[in-house]
Amino acid sequence: MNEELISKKELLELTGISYGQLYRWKRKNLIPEEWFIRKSTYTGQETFFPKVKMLARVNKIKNMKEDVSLDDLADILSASAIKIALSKEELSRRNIVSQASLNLYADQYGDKEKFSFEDILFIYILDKLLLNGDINLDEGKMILEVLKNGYHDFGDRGCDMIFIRKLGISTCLLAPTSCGIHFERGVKIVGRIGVSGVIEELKIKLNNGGVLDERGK
Amino acid sequence: MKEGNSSDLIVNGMGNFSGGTYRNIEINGTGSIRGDVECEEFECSGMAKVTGNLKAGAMTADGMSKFDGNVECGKLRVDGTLGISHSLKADEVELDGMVNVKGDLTAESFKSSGSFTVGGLLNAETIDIGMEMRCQAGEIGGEDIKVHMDRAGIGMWGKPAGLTAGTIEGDNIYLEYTCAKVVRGGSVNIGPGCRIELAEYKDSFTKADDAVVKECKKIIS
Repeated sequence: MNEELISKKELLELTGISYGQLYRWKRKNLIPEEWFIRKSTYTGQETFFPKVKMLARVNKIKNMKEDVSLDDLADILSASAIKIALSKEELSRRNIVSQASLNLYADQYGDKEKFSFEDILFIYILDKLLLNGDINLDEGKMILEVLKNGYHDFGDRGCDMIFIRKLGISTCLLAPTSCGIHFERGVKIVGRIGVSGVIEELKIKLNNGGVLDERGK
Repeated sequence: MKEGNSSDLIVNGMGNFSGGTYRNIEINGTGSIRGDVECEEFECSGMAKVTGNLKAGAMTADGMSKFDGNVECGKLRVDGTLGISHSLKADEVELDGMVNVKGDLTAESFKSSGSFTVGGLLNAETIDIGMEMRCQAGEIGGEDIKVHMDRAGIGMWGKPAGLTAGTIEGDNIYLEYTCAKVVRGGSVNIGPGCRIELAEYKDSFTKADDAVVKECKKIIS
């Protein structure tokens, strides 16, 4: 993977944050350990970051730290599940997922009184693809099946959900986060969803009381 | 932490124990614990060895303690020696003895008047290092970093006291008797006895007469 890197010094110049802030965020686990990339330069070891991801993260923290404490922010940004259980009514009322996706889930796995964070996450991913019109309901069932069976294998490292189609035949797969995959020429990648990104999005949504906010990236 | 059925572990003689959840652990003799341990208070006045991770509310290391894993605790006070093969994470570290951490040391406040070796990054909001002996860290990062000599350069075992570090980065930095490759920060003050290869500052820079700074740059942003 040839990601563009940014040195720590450049990052601070570009974003205007101080060393104190950066180290504080590192202590609070707001920035994942694996983004600290050590490389040797003529001044000795230097730290680099993946540029695009890091800048997005810094901006997000800067925007949100006014309203949320750093510890809460760490919970939102971490890939681990939060403890939550919502009823079906609540999910659709708060506009977190659509009714269609909920019904599809219920068809497949039976109706549930309360949905756990993981359930909501899977429905949310399904919802994203369904609402874009990328997939049909049958394909939605396949996605749920794959997520249910395979998601746990990746643990905290997270994974990407990739949906592909060739000559009208569709399939989907889970792969480690942002790894390079080469497909045959006729294959169309319908959607690639980074699950860890979705988790962040979903947590913010759940925290905001489900109000759609368009701050986006 | 679990309440109720967890009991104390007090070692006055010698013994091997298994890990798990305890209320207080007190080791006055020689004790070795196998596996991960969780407790409210860990106190070692004798010799302790833990082959696993420790999670404690507070920890006092007066004797000799050794951990083969990670240590996570609230308040840490070290008057004896403490060795950790991985990383140490604490809220508050007060150090008078000797600490050797192979990995990173992370704390909100770090105050030392002893000797320490940190293989990785020493990361704390406020870092106050008073030196009587040799101190060493791969990297140091934080907001306020202050390094000063407690008893002018006496040292121990013939070695002069001082701090050696690869990179030191912070918002306000004051250094004495420090040998570092790179020092970067908002306001950088280099006191007596320092040898710095490269210093970079944003707001202000001062240097004592007998300090050696090979290269000094102002960061323009």
